[in-house]
Amino acid sequence: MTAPPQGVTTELAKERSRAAAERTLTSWIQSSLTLMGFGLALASTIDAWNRHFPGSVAPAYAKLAPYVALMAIGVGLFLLTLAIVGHVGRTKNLEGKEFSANALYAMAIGGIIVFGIFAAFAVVVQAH
Amino acid sequence: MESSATNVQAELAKERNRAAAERTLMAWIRTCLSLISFGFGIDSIVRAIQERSQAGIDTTRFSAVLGLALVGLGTYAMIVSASEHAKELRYITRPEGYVYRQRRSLALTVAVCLVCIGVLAFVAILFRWL
Repeated sequence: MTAPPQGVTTELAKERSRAAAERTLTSWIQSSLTLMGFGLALASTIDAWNRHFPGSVAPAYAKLAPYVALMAIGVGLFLLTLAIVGHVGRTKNLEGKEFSANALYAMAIGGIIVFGIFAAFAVVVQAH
Repeated sequence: MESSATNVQAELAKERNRAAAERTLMAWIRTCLSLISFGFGIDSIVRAIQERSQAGIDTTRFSAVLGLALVGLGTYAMIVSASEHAKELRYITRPEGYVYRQRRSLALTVAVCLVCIGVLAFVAILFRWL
């Protein structure tokens, strides 16, 4: 159920709140992109370097790089998922709809846990 | 007297909205710049390494697809955010009263696309490296 229009100043304030929510999610996108970008750049660069110039990357770094990259991408995805849930909650509340983020948070965290279990399983399978 | 004060308040609120819309567009410019430059950068770095190497292994496909996806997402977000900004400015300055409109969130669309790209990258790295 959508709330009926109120005074002009209230409606304008709602629009500002929406813009603020938009900027908040944009900031989270930037932070997550930095984290995921670091992970991707590390993985791609070390992989390309190692394939084309074998032996030029120290074995310890070559072994550690994918784990660091996966961790950075995983943290970026986790933070972005939580930011999406928060954004949906804020915009629904602005529209005057009753919204509880608990169900969405539970779904998001459940999805991340399933994704983590899948990733851990893949690491174990590949390692053997 | 009261209606004049209300009018001034509404006009000042409109000015705050215009400033907020401007800040939102600037936030989008920064985000799109990050998306485009990162997408372009990762592809260029991997291509540069490929060109200088002696080995004939092609590792550029993954980074090219990833780079293209990020550049595409950044360009789409920039076009839509600029268009939404222009619409918002027109809506604020119209003579009729202002009513808050429910609409699709661009940030939500971009965030969901980025999650999909991130999951694909995670899976690709997982199966290629480990």
